[in-house]
Amino acid sequence: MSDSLPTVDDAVTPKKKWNFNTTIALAFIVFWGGVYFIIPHQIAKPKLFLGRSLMGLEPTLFPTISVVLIICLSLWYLFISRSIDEVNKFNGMDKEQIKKILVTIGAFCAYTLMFNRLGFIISTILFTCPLTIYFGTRKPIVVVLVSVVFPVSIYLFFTTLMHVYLP
Amino acid sequence: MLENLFEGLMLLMRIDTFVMTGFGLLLGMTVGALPGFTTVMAMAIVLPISFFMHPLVGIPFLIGVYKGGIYGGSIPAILINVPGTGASVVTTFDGPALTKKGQSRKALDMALFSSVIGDLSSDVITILLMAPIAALALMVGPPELAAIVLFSLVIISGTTQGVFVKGLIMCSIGIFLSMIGQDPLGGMSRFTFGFFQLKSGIPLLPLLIGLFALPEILSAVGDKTTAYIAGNKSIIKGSRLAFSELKRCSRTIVRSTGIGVFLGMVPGVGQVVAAFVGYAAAKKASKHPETFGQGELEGIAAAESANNAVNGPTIVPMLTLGIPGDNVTAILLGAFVAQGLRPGPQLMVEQAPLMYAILLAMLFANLLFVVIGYLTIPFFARIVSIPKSALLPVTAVLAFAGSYVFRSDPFDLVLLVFFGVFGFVAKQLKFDVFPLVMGFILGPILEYSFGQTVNLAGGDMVSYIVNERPIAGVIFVISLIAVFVILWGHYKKQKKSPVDDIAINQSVSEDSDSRPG
Repeated sequence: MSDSLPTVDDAVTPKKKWNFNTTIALAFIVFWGGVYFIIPHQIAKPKLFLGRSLMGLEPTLFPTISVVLIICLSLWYLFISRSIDEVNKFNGMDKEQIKKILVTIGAFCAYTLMFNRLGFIISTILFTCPLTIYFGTRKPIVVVLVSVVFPVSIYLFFTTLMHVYLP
Repeated sequence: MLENLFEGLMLLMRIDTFVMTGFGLLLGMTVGALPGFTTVMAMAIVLPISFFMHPLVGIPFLIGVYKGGIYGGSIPAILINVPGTGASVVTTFDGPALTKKGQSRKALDMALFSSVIGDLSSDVITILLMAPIAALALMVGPPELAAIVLFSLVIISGTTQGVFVKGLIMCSIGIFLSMIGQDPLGGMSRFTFGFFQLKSGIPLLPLLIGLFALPEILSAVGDKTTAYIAGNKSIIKGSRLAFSELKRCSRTIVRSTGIGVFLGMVPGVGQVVAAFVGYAAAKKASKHPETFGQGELEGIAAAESANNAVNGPTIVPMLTLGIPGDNVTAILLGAFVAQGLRPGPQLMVEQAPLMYAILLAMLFANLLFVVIGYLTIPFFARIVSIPKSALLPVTAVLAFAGSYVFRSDPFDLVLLVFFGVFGFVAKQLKFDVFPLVMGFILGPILEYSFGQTVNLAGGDMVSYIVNERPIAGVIFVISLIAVFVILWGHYKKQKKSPVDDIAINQSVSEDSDSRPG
């Protein structure tokens, strides 16, 4: 990470070089260019009365303005991106950290899929128990508190106290 | 105004409001005291709980979380040199030095009292300002509203962390996301990609929780530190703050409160900037500037009163125009809308007593805060040692449950995870999500008021604005000038670019990626 931290020389005369901002700017131009072309296909057409639209503002106008604006801004971003001196925080991560984050995102996805199918309590136990241990909790009492007592309390809080539905 | 204020006071006289405000303060202090857990995250997670309460219970509860969280952040900042929230970064300049000297108790007391004085004063000013600003807001028509929204979006993007153009892009993406669903004028379906769930648009709640809570969890997962001061139970030392010491800092507190109130009125500026400016002003005015950074109580008073004084004024544009000034007021806006209260010029006319009751609840929250804070500081000082490994899954479950309960739609969980991952990636790549949220909230208002303006203009927009709505034209021109001023400011800063600035900017962005807390 230290190689990407700004030095005194960098601060005074930032060197122009291809960096992550340049890549993102290009990706934005391609992506939002694609969105521009799908605008007519993703917006319903207003009904016509005697061949004329009754609406003062076409539903495509604002989306078109915003997408064109994003493309123009992305071009500006591309233009200045090589001079931007920023640290890509992903570069500072080691394999272990990336693995932990990916496992957590995977757990979020699995929890999303289980939530409605298995119900709140079971899915939460299946989500929190392995995750708590994976994050480093070794005391059984803490694991039980987090993965069993807590979901049941939350379930009772929402359903009994707040009268809200949880599966 | 006095009549509405009195009616508001009568409405507020209910025990559940005070109980839930107190609970909110405790919750906020807990979250604030946990390094890595932000006030915004806590507010986003508990937001759905407030939906099922009376407005005079749910909204003061959220306000309690906010106020408690901002103060709570100063506890680890003073004790262990780790700012609990972004707003307390400046408190680390003097807090840890006082702890080393064995005066941590004094420092915590000073943080509490200066926070409360700053916050209380800003709330009184807010209440006084509310009526005249609401009267002005009533004169705002669609062209002026469109221009004000545009101006706010420019300022919000301009005050974003990092590069201006990245803020503008995020803001535009937010506006684009707000267009998914139906257009506000004709109800035509847009960008649903065949998903029935998107017909009514992207709901605000999963977006807010996803962007503010899940990225914090993912960042904390990547952080190798688990407990900060595990085992050290006797970190609070020394005698309590004497009245003479508080009196010595009174000028600084008044100055910082003024700075905080002024900066709080500017959309998007927030607590972090206020704390830095308040601290710098106090150091400049001091007879002993060399003591700042070496454990100076005045330094803590300056930072804490400035960052808390921001709290009141940020709520004014949200209540009077429906324009949130920062991400905390964006969350509060969500609470208002869910309660059936649509912030805007009419709200202060139709629901004036209720609005004053909510503003008075902010005052009472401060009074409650002194008592709770004074008694519970030793307890919260121990919270900083709770391991994250147990708290992260708990926080994630609350985020999921909170996103689900409002509509009971599993698709909201898909959106939650999507925005969570998006927010995390954006954070790592130095994109501030705050302009995106503002664009998402203000996009429909902008489109609707712009559409109404087009209809009112009857085809000749320029002459309509110039001849009939010159104020809207002036605000529009000011917005364009603001773009150039911000660009010029960035250019000058880049040219100057001392290493000190970079270090400060880095410390702020590291600790306060989700401003203000």
